[in-house]
Amino acid sequence: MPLMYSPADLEAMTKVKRVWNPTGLLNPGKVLPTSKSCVEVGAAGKRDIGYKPHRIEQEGLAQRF
Amino acid sequence: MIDLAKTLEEIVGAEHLRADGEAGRYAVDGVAPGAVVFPGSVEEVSGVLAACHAAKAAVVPWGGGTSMGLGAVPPKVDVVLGLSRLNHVIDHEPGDMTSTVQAGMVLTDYQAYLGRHRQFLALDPPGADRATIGGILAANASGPRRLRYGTARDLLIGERVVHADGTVTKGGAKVVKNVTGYDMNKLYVGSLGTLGVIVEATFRLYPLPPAERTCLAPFPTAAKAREAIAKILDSPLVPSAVELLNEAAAAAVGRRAGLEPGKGAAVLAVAVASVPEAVAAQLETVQTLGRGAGGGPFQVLDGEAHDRFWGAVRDFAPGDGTTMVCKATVLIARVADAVWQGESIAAKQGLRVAVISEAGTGVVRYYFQAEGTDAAARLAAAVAPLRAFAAEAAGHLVVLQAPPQVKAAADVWGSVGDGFPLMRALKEQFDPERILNPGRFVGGL
Repeated sequence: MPLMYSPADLEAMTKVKRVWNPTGLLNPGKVLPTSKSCVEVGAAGKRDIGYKPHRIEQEGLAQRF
Repeated sequence: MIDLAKTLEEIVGAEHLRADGEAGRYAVDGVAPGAVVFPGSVEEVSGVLAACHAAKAAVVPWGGGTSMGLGAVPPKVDVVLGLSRLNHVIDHEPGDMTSTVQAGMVLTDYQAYLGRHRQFLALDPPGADRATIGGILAANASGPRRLRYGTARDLLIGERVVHADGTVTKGGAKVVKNVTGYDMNKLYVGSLGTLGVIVEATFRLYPLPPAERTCLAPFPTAAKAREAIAKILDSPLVPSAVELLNEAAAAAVGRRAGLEPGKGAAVLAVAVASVPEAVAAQLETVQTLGRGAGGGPFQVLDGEAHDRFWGAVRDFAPGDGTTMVCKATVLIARVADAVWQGESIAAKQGLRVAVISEAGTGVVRYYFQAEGTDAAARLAAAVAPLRAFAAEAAGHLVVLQAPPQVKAAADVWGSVGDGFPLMRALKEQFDPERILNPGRFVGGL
């Protein structure tokens, strides 16, 4: 999802989700990404703790999933 | 407010900011804004909203102004955000039959552009020569052709929106099927600018039909016309519009369009769009069915007379500020009752009423007028009984426009039912400072 949508786009969807599902009870992590459910978000989290993208990633030759 | 005006001027440039006297032309129900700004880009819209958000200023988005009568009288209007400079076609893929357009483009200009490729956006709301794409979406405006093509939510496949704090988001994409995440596009349609300002829209398009003609006939009663309508809808015919006009509406439309619709308590108009042979064959069948229900004589409108007739139907509401326009939805089987109810309630209150119904979809528009000192009170008094009828006929009634004195005395939206707490929560999420069109939408949102 973060590859398709910007953080602002996802935030708008999250706002809708909060209205109908404020406690996160319904299908948690199935549609909107959390670091547990979404590898891309998970990867972003790892970047924060020191993940270094490979050279071919930086050059846009490969994408990490 | 003075500081805000200065900030806004820095964002859009002095020539795109109106203040004082000139801003009065952008009054909403008589409430004049302190400033009117016309940003020239999405970035400028974002800047304007961020500045207004910081100043907690009430912002009213404004396209062509054709739906400004919709909603409750606003408690305050600080800034009118005019979108008319965002008036370009961004993209058109004739082979894909999709197109992206800026929100401030006027519908007829957009149709002229698409028409060169023999395509069109299948929306025909009132005031198409002034109404903008963004305004049509925000008001979810529609017209007679919704019977065949549906409404904005059926045609919109992508959108860019600027939120109250200036954040820009997108939803959907330029493909007809796109279902990743929530379908955010539909959320903003009909939200009257209370959740965000639409700045771009992507639509799926339709090919322009090679021919369109309309047959028109008077009926002795609305109930007889309703019989004909039931037969037409329950046939293999594919009309693009089926409209039922009461006598007063038919006379006024005839006058404006320069034609004689025929004498009768109700007039039925059925438009068919297709290849010429199919149009001729289908209109033949419509006339046979209509005569069987006691209607006639029929006349067939073509070319300019056809366009003038539908123009007069779509743009029926005079912009004189004295007419109260109500839009009801009822079961299609109750359309004839809806015409009769409107006339009977009008008679009780001493009002004149023209009724135009999209009889194939159950949408009924009432145009009430009144004279005399207590005109506003009598207009307002018609709303509750007519709404009670609509509710009994499984529908709703909304006041589309009315003089501010009428709005002060009548509930323009009516009850929205158990969905309201969700709507209020959405507003809290999307616009917690309540700067976007505050007080105009349902329940004072």
